[in-house]
Amino acid sequence: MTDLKLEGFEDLEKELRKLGDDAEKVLRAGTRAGVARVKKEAQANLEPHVDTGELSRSLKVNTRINRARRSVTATVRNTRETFYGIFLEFGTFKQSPVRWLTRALRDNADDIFRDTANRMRQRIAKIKAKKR
Amino acid sequence: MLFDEIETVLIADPSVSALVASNQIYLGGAIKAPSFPCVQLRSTGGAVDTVLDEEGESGLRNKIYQFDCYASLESSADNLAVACRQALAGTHASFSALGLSEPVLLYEEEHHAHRASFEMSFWFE
Repeated sequence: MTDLKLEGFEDLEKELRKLGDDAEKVLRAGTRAGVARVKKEAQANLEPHVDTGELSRSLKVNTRINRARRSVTATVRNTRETFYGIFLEFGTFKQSPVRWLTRALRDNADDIFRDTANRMRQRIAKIKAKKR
Repeated sequence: MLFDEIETVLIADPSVSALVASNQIYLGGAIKAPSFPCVQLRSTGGAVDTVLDEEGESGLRNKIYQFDCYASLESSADNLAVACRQALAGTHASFSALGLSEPVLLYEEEHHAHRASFEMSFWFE
């Protein structure tokens, strides 16, 4: 598993505090947008290695809110049927590692941050407009 | 060459040399007639951040290696990975190394060997 922790969103944090319960929706939408970018880049990394395309199609984005820890987690994962994704990721004794998922995260950190922040700003603006 | 320096650091480290023989550290593709424990380094990324001027090329280069530490027991593979990581992260060599991920434990069916894999980033001139 590779993690990317989002920090440095002070302006957004202030806005979120004003939103109350709606903050959860904004956080979920933002992290989902960031991880959707990871999924897209992972699919692009898989392209040169595509056989049936099943692994690429099996990638799904999920978000989970942990209220006790006040955190939102978004993940991109493949299915059990496409278990072989791990062999491509880490390689095998004979096969070189592709790191299709790690690179999707590592090489696109700026875009992931931007997509996350943009979506959060969009959602904040939408919620504010509704409240007026 | 970077690999030679990495190999030198690993061999010189008492924690690593206690777990793997000095001739069991490899760079690149499939190892012919493997015996365990062993360490395999494979390139998984990197960048060039150099400047070319009248005095030649200067600046830092970056290379990312995946370290695959093999052993017959899972705990031995994991211990070897931890020892390699610590040896490289704390070294005063011509490169600086940064661990990018914790070791992931895997199993190589064909060779009945356990594997602990992790990535390290190396910066060097």
